[in-house]
Amino acid sequence: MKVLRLPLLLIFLGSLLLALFFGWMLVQALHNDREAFRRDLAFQSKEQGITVSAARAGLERRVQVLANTLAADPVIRNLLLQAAREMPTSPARNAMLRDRLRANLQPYWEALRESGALELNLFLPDANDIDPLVSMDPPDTHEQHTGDSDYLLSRAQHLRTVVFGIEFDGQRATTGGVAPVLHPDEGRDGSLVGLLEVEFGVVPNVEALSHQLESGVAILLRAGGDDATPRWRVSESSAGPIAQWLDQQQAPRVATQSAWRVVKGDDGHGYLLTLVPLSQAGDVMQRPVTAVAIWKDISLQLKQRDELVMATWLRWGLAWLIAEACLLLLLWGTRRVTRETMLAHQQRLERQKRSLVGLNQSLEAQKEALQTLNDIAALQETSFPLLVERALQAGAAHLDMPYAIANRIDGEEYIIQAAYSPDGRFVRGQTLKTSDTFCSAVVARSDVVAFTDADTQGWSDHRCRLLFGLKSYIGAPIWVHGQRFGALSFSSEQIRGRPFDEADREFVRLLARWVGATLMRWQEVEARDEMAGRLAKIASQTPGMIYQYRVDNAGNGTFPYASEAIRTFYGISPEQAAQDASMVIEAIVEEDRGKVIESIRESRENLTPWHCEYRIQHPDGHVLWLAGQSIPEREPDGATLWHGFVHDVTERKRSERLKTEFISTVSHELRTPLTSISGSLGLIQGGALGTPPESMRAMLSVAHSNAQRLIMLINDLLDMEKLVAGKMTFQMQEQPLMPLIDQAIEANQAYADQFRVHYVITERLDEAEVNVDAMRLQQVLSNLLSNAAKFSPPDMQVEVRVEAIGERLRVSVIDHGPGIPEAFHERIFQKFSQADGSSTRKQGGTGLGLAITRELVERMRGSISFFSEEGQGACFFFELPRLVRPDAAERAALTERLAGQAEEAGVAPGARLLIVEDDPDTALLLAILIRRWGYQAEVAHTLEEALGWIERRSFDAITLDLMLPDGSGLTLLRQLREQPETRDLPVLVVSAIAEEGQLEIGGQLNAVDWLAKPFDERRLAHALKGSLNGRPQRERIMHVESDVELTRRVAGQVAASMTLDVARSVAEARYLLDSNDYGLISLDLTAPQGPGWEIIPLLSQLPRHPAVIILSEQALAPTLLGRVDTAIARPGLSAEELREAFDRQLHGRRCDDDKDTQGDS
Amino acid sequence: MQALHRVLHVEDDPSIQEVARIALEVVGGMQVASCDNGQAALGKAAEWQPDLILLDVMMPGIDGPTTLARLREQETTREIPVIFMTAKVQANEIEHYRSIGGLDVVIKPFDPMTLASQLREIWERMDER
Repeated sequence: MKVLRLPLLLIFLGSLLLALFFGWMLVQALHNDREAFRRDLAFQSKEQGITVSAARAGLERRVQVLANTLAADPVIRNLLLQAAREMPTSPARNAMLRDRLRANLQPYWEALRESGALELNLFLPDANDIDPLVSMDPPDTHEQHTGDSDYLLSRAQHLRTVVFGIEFDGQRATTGGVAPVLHPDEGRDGSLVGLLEVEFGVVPNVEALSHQLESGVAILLRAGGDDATPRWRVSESSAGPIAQWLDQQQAPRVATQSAWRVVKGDDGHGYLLTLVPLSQAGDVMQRPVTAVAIWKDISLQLKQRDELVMATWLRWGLAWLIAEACLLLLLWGTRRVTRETMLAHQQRLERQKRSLVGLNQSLEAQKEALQTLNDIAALQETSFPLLVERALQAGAAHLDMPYAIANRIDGEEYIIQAAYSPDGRFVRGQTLKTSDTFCSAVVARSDVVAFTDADTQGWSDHRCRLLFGLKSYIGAPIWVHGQRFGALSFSSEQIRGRPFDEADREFVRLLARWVGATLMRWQEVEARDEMAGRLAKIASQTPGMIYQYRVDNAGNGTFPYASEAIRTFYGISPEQAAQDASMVIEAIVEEDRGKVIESIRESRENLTPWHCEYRIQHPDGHVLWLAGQSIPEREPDGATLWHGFVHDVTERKRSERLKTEFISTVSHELRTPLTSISGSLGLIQGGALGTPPESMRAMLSVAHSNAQRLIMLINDLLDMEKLVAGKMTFQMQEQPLMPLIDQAIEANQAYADQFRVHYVITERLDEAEVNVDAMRLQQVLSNLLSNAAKFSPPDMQVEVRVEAIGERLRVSVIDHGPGIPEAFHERIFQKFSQADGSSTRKQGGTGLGLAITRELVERMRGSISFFSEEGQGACFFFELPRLVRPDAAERAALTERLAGQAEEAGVAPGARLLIVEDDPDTALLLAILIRRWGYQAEVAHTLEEALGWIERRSFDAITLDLMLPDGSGLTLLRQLREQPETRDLPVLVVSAIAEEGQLEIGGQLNAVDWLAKPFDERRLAHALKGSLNGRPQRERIMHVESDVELTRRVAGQVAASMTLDVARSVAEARYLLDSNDYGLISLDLTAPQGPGWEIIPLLSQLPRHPAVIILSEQALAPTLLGRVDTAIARPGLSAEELREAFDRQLHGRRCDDDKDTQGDS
Repeated sequence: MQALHRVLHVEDDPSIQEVARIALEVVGGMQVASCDNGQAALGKAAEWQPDLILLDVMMPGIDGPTTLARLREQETTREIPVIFMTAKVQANEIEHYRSIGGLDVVIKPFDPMTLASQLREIWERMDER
């Protein structure tokens, strides 16, 4: 509706506007035309007025000239003079004079009459108009004049000059002129003798004027009316209807100015009627008394004007019409375009609507298909075949086809994997020939094949049509793992009512994909089931329980997988454990639970493998020992998952216990009879029962010593057992070393006496202190001393030497026995190894001694080694860390000095230490002590804080508590050792469980010292000092020398500043070179057979090339010997020179190293 | 306190009993009484009032530690020092015997020639305390 109304309104409004516009333009044009016409007429009128005025001016001039001329005539002047003088006196004379005047005037008058004059009068001065002295009127009009020239007369008399103007006497209007006639003898200023008046008409000649103007002309006289609207009568006129116009009051109104008007004549012509009003002379009011009317025929002009008006009307009308037409055309055009556009729109909308409807239909179909597919996807079946069959049934229902088959096609082999047919025609497992089915086409095309009527769509000859009578078919390939597996097909014996559309094809395609995915899943599930079954079988046959244990971020534990053994161990099902692991944890006996939880926590935090042995309370009451191990891994969500197993070690534990008991019992049972035997023999040998006969004595001695050996063997076996099992405890104590050695020598002297061997301490170090278990050290010494004694030839001495080798103390036991054969060197510290069977018997001994000795030394953080050459005796030596203990005075001085330094510097000078200690009091105490000793100290109360500190600052040493609120100090220790920067950072473990920690860590970590709490202040100070002095590493020197004296001198010179190892044989040097890295090697080549010579070839094989100094009898050229840096002639060598040479070499080396390092960087 | 003189040796093995007796009497010059079980030792100790009891640990009937406990229960034997003699030589075992009231532990096999002096040493050490 709107669409329709709008154009009408627009048309109406547009037309209205156009009409108004063009109307207004027309009015304007007409107005302009009229104005132009009026102006034209006004101009013509004015022109006529001017012509009239010009005629009147000429007339007035003539009047003036005529009056003056006549007044100047001397005859007339004389006559008038006489008349004026004699008039009153003699009327006769008067008459005569009048006649004479008239006669004189007559010629003039005649002429004047010819030119239209109306009157010629002579007056005496002071006469009035109606009483002229002489009047030359024509006879017919004489009576009529009414003395209208009074004004002109009086004026001329007064002014004594000629005056002129209109005279109107109510009957006639004339143009009069009055001239004064002066005394003929008196000149211009003479006295007035009379007045001469000449009168003409208003215009000289109406007919002439009419002719001149080509218009009608009339003289009108006033016939009444007021001054504004005077009424006129015609006085004189050319031909024309002027009188009629006046009667009809069509004359223009005039006051003082001329006016015009268009009037119509009887003849139908139009005239321009102009009235030029004239007033009487001397009338200051200028009241019109007469008028000249001029009328001009303007019919042509009027006609032209009418034509012009018509043309204007036509022009603008036409313009309006054109505009209107344009408007309508525009509107029409617009409307048409709009209509077309709308039509197009409508058509498009129609089309869209149609396509939408189509789309909607196909969407509906797809929706249905999707719904079916969705239903299929949501199918719940316990077995895959049933699932696929139900899907096929649903698909068949959707497509309205009775038969549905999912098959596997392999060449010509067609095996039905799943089928649905109402009559059971196709069943699972049935095989067909591929070429007998329409599916062969699907396989060939690898795409959907569909037809609703086989006969009309070109499938009538297909074997399938003939064999099975199927008429409509739709099938799609099934893909499994990217390989064509087979086909999904739906078929019917009927022609399908509705053709297959794209939705149907897509449905089949999707269903085929689903079937493919399901078959894939089916295969996978079968494979997985098989795997799971296999795993379950394996797991069931595995002793113990295989599991996955998972701890999430909140700390909740579960067993995502646990083998069936979990029932045996914990009495819960794997499913229960998968929900909650707490029952498993609760089953652990209370004493062990904390340990297990802690080990799991540590494994979780550090992702270290978990190992633990613990006891559980089996649901049936008895206690089981379990050993578990697993490897943790971090999951993306932060949870930790362990894979591992737990197995029953109750039996092992029991056998361990039995073994321990057995050993204890065996030991006991062996010892008991041995007690009697060795006791008895001892008594006999000791002479308590008198002196045995000489003949028995030897045998008794054999019996006694073998009894003793048996005892030793039993003892050693027990020791070895304990060491191997890690059950031997060490009571480590700081103590002076020498008393222990003295004691050992004393204790073993009796034994040595049997071999007539004497122990001699060749070097003592009374101030040396060590941290050892005294009893174990005795055992070590006893072993070495007894061995030395055993292998020494009689009457020889066994030398014991105690010396400081840098930070270590070396105790050497040197015998002069047969030495150790080269072949036996490697096995000497192994169990039950003795150089040869015969000596075993000869020398006694269990074969366990050195093995035990080495274990003991290493447990006390020492090392043991030997060097020996066959026939040259042997030197066994062990080294222990040396405790540096300044005496009280020295310490006081040091403290004072450090304190002084601290005061000077304002801050604690020297090394910076980190105190890791959770107990605030202990931490404070440690910090106070450490600062008092002049170090800087920072305190960390937790592992986290400690790590924070280490990350931020570098420390020279750390004191570490093992029990920290957020973990074990050992964790930190391990971490420190894993980082290259902190690998060698000295760590002093200060803990109440230092020993346990030490046992746990074993001997693998360097630069770690252990200090049990409550700690001894003095011990702490030494440990710290020792740790800090250890850095940086001092240069290590090996001196190869056979001469004891020179060795001593070298050692005396360099030992204070460097670590010196002395090798006295090639074997010893080799041993030392293998185990240490030397910066400098000095070789003594003075003795021709000395070991130094043999070392030279070894030098080039060393990984690091040390500086080499040789000492020789003569100054040898270094080049002779290959890579030797300095050769010193020995004779006359002073200690100072020697040291200088060492320093020079080491210093030079270091500079080179530095340069190399810089060069590398 | 007087010197160690009277020792009661409780030992089930007669051979060892004999060796020890000779070692103490002949070598050490002590007076020795011997019992072959704990029960007998209780009576003998009460009756004879030895200076010291050398007590074997493993014995049929009541063993060494039990005997010690019984001795401590009897008024008359409460104060008599006891030294264990045992073939159980492991450190924890020795520690255990000390902890239950043994003055010290003598390990089997012992050296008969020094047994007496060993006992005297322990005796004197106890004396010092």
